[in-house]
Formats: sequence, structure tokens, C-alpha cells
Amino acid sequence: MNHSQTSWSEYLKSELPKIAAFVAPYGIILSDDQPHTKGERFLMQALTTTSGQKLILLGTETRTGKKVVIKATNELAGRQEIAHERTCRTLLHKVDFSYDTFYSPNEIIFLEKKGYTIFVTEFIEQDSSFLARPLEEQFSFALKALKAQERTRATTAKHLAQIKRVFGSRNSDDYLRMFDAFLITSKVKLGVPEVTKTLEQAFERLSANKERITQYGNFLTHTDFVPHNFRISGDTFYLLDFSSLRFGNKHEGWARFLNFMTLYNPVLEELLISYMEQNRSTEERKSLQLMRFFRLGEIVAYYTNTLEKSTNNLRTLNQTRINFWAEVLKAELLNTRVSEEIVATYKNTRDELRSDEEKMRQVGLH
Amino acid sequence: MKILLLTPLFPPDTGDPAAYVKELAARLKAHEVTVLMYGYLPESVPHVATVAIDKRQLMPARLLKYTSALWRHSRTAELIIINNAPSTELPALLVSFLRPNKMLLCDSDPIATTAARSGLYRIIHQLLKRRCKKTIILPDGTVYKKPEVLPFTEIDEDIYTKRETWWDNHLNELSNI
Repeated sequence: MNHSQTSWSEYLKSELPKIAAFVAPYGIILSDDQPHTKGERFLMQALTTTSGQKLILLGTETRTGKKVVIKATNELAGRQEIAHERTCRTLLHKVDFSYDTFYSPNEIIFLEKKGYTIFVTEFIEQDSSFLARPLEEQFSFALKALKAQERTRATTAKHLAQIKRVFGSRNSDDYLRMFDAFLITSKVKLGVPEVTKTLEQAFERLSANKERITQYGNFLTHTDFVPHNFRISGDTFYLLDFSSLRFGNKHEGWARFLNFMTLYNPVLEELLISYMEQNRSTEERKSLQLMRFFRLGEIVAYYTNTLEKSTNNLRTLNQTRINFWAEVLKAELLNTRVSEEIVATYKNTRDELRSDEEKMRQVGLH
Repeated sequence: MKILLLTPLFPPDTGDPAAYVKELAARLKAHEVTVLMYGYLPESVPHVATVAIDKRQLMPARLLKYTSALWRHSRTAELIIINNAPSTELPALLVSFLRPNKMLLCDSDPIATTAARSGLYRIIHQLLKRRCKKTIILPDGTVYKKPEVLPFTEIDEDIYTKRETWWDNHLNELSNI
């Protein structure tokens, strides 16, 4: 166990009883098993949010016997993130041109007490995980949700004043500045010339097509749109993470989803790309590709930053992840998909290097 | 013929008039078409000129700029097609008092059509209607919209045929004004 893991277990040991005491008067008890505290969770500072540290716990409402989700923290950035998420959630359902497709789990408690912020919502049961559904259903749900994200655009001065301030925004300059930071991370912390070269090529393409990024800007997009951030119950689509909503290029959510599917369901990835090519303009297809470059650069930088916090098998795994995502980026730069062999080899290596706890945490997650 | 298309929305913006105007502009390729819109960095249409007024300005500023652009471009226009919205109809009404272009009002946005039933917008809409040669109301439903190509759905040739027929009739209607 390395220093980061030790600190995480000590953190859990001290925090769980306090949080249990905070929610107990509201008739909520924490579950004995807390899957979201295990495995590689200690490494996770969310990829796309404000990176506050928080606990995501499961519990039961004793009065109804229903499962609940508890987000809690006493860390400043984490508290801000929970409060921000709640504000976004509330505003999203108020604005008249909003995401009418998305539902959110009911709020049960929001507490700010003794330096802690605690947010309890209902747990949404689903018949099966997203990836366990038939391909046709996966495509249909994904497309519906991705289209819903395209409906809200802040185009007028009034929109910008009312909404953009709450959700935050990124423009083409921000994307380029951030990608430049990914590149510096790669050069300074990784020092693998081939990966750096791939990132440099992506940066050149992004810089040369800045206008295309701007063209599809100012849309409200979910920057972490992946299956573990939504749940489907019957025909209803529940969005779980509202802190990752931001005004930016409309293909940020698409890109994150497609990059995820490169690993978990390449057939769905292909179908969504074909949909885009057959139904949308060539400019829009280009914008999607640029956002995929951006998001892939972000993943490479994310795992590069985890290297200093990981040792032994986990460090080797994170190095393997960097190489894999750099390969995916290299293929995307050529407008091709990474080969099945590369994906299969990566998955085998990953599964060999993952801890048993992490393997358990991943079961049914997506 | 020199045709000027006025629209409140154009892709990448979404909303009913956006897709319709883009398709109409593309289908009017035999003519010299300019689209005057509110927006920023619109999607391109081969052989079609676009003039975009940035919506991020305050409303009076953007209305003034739109009216001014309409004044300039209406000088040579032989037909002006106005897609309904207060932001296109008010400039069109003002310019129509000074320059008697041949105009057609197209109710392509159902939300604006509903809004035009009351208030100040109703007055603008009624006045403009009187100055236009004709008003066309686009049908409800999807007959003129481009059907999506989806991987698990058979292409219904009948929908494509009906759509092409609708567009042929629509273009005939426009050319006979």
C-alpha cells in the first residue's frame, strides 16, 4: 500500500463514522459495503470536474427501506463541487429551453453542518447496466441523450448573463490553453517522445481548426457523459452527475462517450460515428473529431499525473493506460479506429494488473 | 433571380427554421441566394452567401445591425423570403416602408406563430403580412424535414418520395410569386 492509499484508508476510517452520525437523525443508515470507496477510488480526482475530494456512499432510508446515495465531504473544493452540482441540477430544471429528456434522482437531504456538506438523493435501480443492454437499445438511449445535450445553446446576451455564470464555460482559447498544459505534463512528467509527438500533432490540428471549435461552441454539454454517470429505469433516463455540465463545444460530451466506447463497445462507437457522418454536416463531423483529440489528450495527461501517486502494479497499469490512449489518439489523428488487437491486449494487461478490489468495484459499474 | 432569405436561426443553431432555411437555400441553387441570419459562424452551403449578425450583442444593437444589413442587401434583391420571428419581421417591416421589394412571409417556426397571436408582435406580424405578396405556413409534422438515417431502422422510400414531392411543390409555389 503506497502513501496515497494509506492516507485514503485513514481518511475513510475517520470520516465514515462522522457522516453516519450526520445522517442518522434523518433516518438514514450507511450500508456495510461501500463499493465506491474501494480499488482505485483513492486515485480519482474526477477527470472533468473541479476535482474536489468527496465520498460517494450508499445507504438506506429506514422509513421506506429505499436505497440512497450520499455525497459528503468537509474539504473546501469538494464542498463547492457538491453545492455547485446542486445549483446546476436546480437551474437545469428551471430554464425553459433545457434538457427535458433528463430526469434527476429526487433530493432527500441537503445539509451544511459543522464544516461538512452532505447531499442525499434517491438511488435509481436499473434493470441492467447500460453495456449489458442490447446494442440497439444502447444506440437508441445514447443518441437520445446526446441529442438532448444539443438543445441548449447560450447564444444571446440574455442567455449568457443568466446561465453561463452558473455552469461555467470553455471557448476555443480555453481548449487550446488546456491542451497546451496536457502537452507540458507529458513532456515534464512522462518524457516519452512518441507520446509527446502524438500530443504535439493533435495540438497542431486543434490550433489550425480553432474556428471549427468556436463554431459549435456555447452549447450546454455534459463533459463526463459515460454510463456510470447516468442510469436508465424503464424508459426514463436519469442523469447522476450534474457538476460536469458546462457551456462549451457541443461535441465534448459526444467525444467523451465515444472515447469510452473505444474501450467498452467499439461497435457502438462506429454506429454513432456513422450516424454523425450520414446525418450531420461535414463541419460538425470535424468538430467532433477535434473534441476527441482534446479529450484523448486529457486522458493521457490525467494518467500521467497519477504516476507519482501510484506504485508497483498500479503504476505499470497507469503507464499501460497512457500508451493505450496515446495509440487511440494516434489512430484518431488518421481518422481511423484503433485495432481490435490493441484493445484486446490492453484489456488483458489491465485485468492482470488490476487489484481484486478494483475488479469488484468495476462489476456492473457501466 | 436574386433571393434574400431572412431567418432568426441557422445551423449550428437548432430550432425549426434553422434546418428548413438551410435546406431551402441549398435547393434554390439555380438562383443567387443570400441568407441574412442571427448567429455566429454559420454552417456553409455551397453557392450560398451568408451574412450573420452576432446575437451576443444586446437586443437593440443586434436589431439595428440586422435592419442595416437588410437595407444594404435588399437593394438588389428580387425576392425576400422572411421566416417568422419578431427579430426578422420588425426589420423587414421597417425596410418595406422605404423599399418596395417583393416579399413572402413564411411561418416556419411554430413557436413564433403562436407568439404572433397576441401583444405587440401580433401587430408587427399583421402589418407585415399585408405588405407581403403571400404568406406560407409550413405543415406540421416532418414531411419536409430530412429523415434521419439510423442503423436499426429500414429506410422508408415512401417518406423520401413524399418529401421530394413536397419540396418540388414548395419551390414551384415560391417561383410563382
